[in-house]
Amino acid sequence: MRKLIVLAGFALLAAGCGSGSSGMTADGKVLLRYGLWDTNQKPVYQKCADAFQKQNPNIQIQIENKNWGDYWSGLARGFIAETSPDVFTDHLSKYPQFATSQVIEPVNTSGIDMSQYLPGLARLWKSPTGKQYGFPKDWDTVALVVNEDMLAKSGISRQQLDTATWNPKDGGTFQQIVAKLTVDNNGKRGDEPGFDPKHVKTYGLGFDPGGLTYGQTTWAGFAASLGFKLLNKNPWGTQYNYDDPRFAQTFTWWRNMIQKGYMPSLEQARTLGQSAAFQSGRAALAIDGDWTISTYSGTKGIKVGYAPQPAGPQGSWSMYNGLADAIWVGTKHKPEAVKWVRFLGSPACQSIVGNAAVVFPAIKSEVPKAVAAHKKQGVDVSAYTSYIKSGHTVLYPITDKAPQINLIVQPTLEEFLNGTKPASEVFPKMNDQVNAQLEYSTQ
Amino acid sequence: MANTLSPGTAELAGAEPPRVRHKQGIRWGRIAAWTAMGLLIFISLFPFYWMLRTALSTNSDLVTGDQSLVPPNPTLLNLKQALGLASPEQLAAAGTQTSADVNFFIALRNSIIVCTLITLGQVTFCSMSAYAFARLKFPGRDKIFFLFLTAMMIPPIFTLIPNFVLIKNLGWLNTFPGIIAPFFLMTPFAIFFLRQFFLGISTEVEEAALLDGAGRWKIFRQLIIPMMAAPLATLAVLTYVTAWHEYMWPLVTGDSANVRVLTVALNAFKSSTPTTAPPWGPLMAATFLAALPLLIMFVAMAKRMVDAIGFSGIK
Repeated sequence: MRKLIVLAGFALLAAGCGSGSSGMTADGKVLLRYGLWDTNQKPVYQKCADAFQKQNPNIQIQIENKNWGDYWSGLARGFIAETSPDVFTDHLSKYPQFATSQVIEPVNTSGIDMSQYLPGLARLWKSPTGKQYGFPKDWDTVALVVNEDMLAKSGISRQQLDTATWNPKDGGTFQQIVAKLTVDNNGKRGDEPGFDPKHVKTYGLGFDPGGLTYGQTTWAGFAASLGFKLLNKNPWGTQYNYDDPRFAQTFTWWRNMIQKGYMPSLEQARTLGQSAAFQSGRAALAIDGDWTISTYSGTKGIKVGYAPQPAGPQGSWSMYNGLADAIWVGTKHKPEAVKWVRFLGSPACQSIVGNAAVVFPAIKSEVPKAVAAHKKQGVDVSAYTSYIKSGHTVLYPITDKAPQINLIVQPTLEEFLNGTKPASEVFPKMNDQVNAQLEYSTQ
Repeated sequence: MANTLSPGTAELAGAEPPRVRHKQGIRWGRIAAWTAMGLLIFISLFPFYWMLRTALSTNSDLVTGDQSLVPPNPTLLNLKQALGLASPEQLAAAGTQTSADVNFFIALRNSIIVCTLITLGQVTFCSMSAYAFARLKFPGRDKIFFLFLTAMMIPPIFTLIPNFVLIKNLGWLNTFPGIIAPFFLMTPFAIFFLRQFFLGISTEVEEAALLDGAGRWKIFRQLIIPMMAAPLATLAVLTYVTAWHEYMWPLVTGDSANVRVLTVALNAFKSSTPTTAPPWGPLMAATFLAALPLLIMFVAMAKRMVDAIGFSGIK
C-alpha cells in the first residue's frame, strides 16, 4: 500500500513539473511563444525579439524552433490541443487552409503603409473576402547554385552559364552544360561517347523532389519561361492548367534528364537531399532558393557561386514566394501578439533581417542592405534579385484545397518521373482530378 | 545474452566423451541449427551495427554513397550533436544542422519517468486483477474476463482520439499524468499473461495458508507475489520496452520540451527545411543513444530472468 501512495505522490509531482504554459513568465511578463522552422533565421529573429522587448518591457518573446518536417503537424496538433504558439511563421501553401478553418486571425492593416513592401507580396496574403492574413516579412526567388571549381574544370566559363538558354526540345545550351558537368565512375563526361548513365559520380544538376506540385525549386521557373501559367488567376485561382502542353514538355524534359543520367533519380534525390549532394560534390549545380545561401556558401573547400536560371524563349524566370507571421486565434495575449506581428513586418525588424543576410526582407528600402551584407561576406546574390528587376517572377500559386491537391499531384508526378508513360496519358487526367477538388470546395 | 552462451558451453562439453549419448549423425543437425541461429543473430544484429556505423560516419561520406563496413572517416560529431554538445559552426561545416532544439538528457529523464511509472503501475494493478480473475470467485467473473480480453482486439489507434479528448478535458495535455494515464492501470495482455501463471499455482498452497488464517490480501502479498517473481519480472521488462517505444500517444499528448520523451524528441532530426534530406548521421546517433538504456537493461536483466524462470520451473 505504501508503494501506491508513493506512486500517487510521484504522479502528482510529475504533474507539477509538467504544467507551465500559463502564458506568463516567472517575473510577471507576458510570454509570447513564436514558432519558426529555420535554424538560420533563429538568431535573426532573436535580434528582432530583443529590440521588441526593449520597446515593450512587459512582453517576453520565446522562439520555438522545429524542423519543417515536424513543424506543420506540430501546429495542427497545437490547434486542437490548444497549445499552439501564439504567433508562428506562416507559409503561402498552408495559410489558405488555416484561414478557412479559422485557426488564424486576420490582421488589421490600418496605420501600416502596405506600399512599403515589394509589389505583389502583400496581395498574396489577402483572402478572397478581403481579409489580410499577414504582413510580408521576406521574399525568395530561386537560382542556380554553382560549384565554381567543377565548372572551371569542365572548361565552361561563368559567362556561358549566365547566358545559358533552355528549351524543352533539346534543352538548349543549358543541357549541354549540365551534360558536360556530369561525370561517370570512369571519369567520362556526359557529352562524351561511352558515358555510363547508370554509374554516375557527379551529376550535372541536383534535384530537389520535395515539392513537385508547385515545382518551386524544380520546374516552375523553366515552365514560366515558356509562358506557362499554372492557375487561371493568382492568388485564389479556380482552375489549374496541368494539362497545358508547355507543362508536359517541361516535365518530360525533366524526366529525360534523369534518364540520361544528368540528374539523380527520384529515389536517390530523396535520400541524399539536394544541398547535401551539392556540398559533398555529387552534384555540380543545384536549383535552390535564397534562404539556403548560407548553407551552400558555408560549404568548406568548394567555391560556390549563383547564376540565374537558364533563359527560355521568354527569358529567365523564377517562382516568387514570401513568408508572413500568423496569429493563432487561441492566443491568450492577442493585443501583445498583434503588436509583435506588426513589429516583425515593420522597417525596424526588417532592417535587422536585411543586415543579417539570411533572407531578403520584404520592405523595398531594406533589400539593398541584404545585398550589401551578402557582398561583404563575398557572396554575389544578384542572381536572386535579377528576377525582381526584370519582373520575371511567378507568384506562388494560391488556391483552396492545396493540401488535398498536393496529395493528388505529388505522387502522380513522382510516378511519371519513375515510369515511361507519355505525358498526354497522365497530366490531363490528373488535371481533371485537381479541378474537381476545387469545384467542390468553392460553394 | 546468457541464454545464447549456455547452449554453447553445453555443445563444447558435448564434444568430450562423458555426457555424450549419440556420437554420430547429430553433428549435422547441430551445425544446421547453429548456422540457422547464426543467421538469425546476424539478421537481428546487423541493423544495429549499421545504425552505429551510420552514427559514426560523416554526412558527406553518407551522401557519396559509401558502402564500406567501417566508416572511412569516423567521427564522434554526430553523437555530440545528439547530446547537444556540438557548436552550430561545427554542424554547419558538417552539413547536419537541424532546426529543432535538442535536449537529450531532459528527454532521457522524461522517458525514464514515464516508463518507470507505467511499469510500476501495470505490474502492480495487473497482478492484482489477474489474481482476482484467476482465484477469487464472484458472479460474472468469466464473462467480465472475456469482455476484458476482447479489448485486446481493438487496435490502439481507435482509442487514440477518445483518449485524447478525455485527457484534454482533464487538462492533462503536456503533463506526465496525461502521457502515462492510458497505460498506467491495466492492459488486457498483461492480465491474460499473468492469469495463466496464477492458474498454474496449485490451490493447495493457498488453501493451507487460508487454514492458517491468512486473508486473501496476505496470501497475495506474501505467497503469490514471491512465487511469481519471474513472470512479473518478464512482464516488467516487456512493459518497459513497449513504453519506451511508444510514439504516437506521447507525440499527441506531450510534445512540449519539459515532458517530451525520447521517441518524440528524435523528431528533431527530421528534415530541417523542405529542401533537405534528414541528417541521417545525427539521427542514427540519437537513435543509438536512445536504444542504449534498453540494451543495458536487457543485458543486466537477461541472466536474472533466465535464472528466475529456471528457479520457478524447479518449484
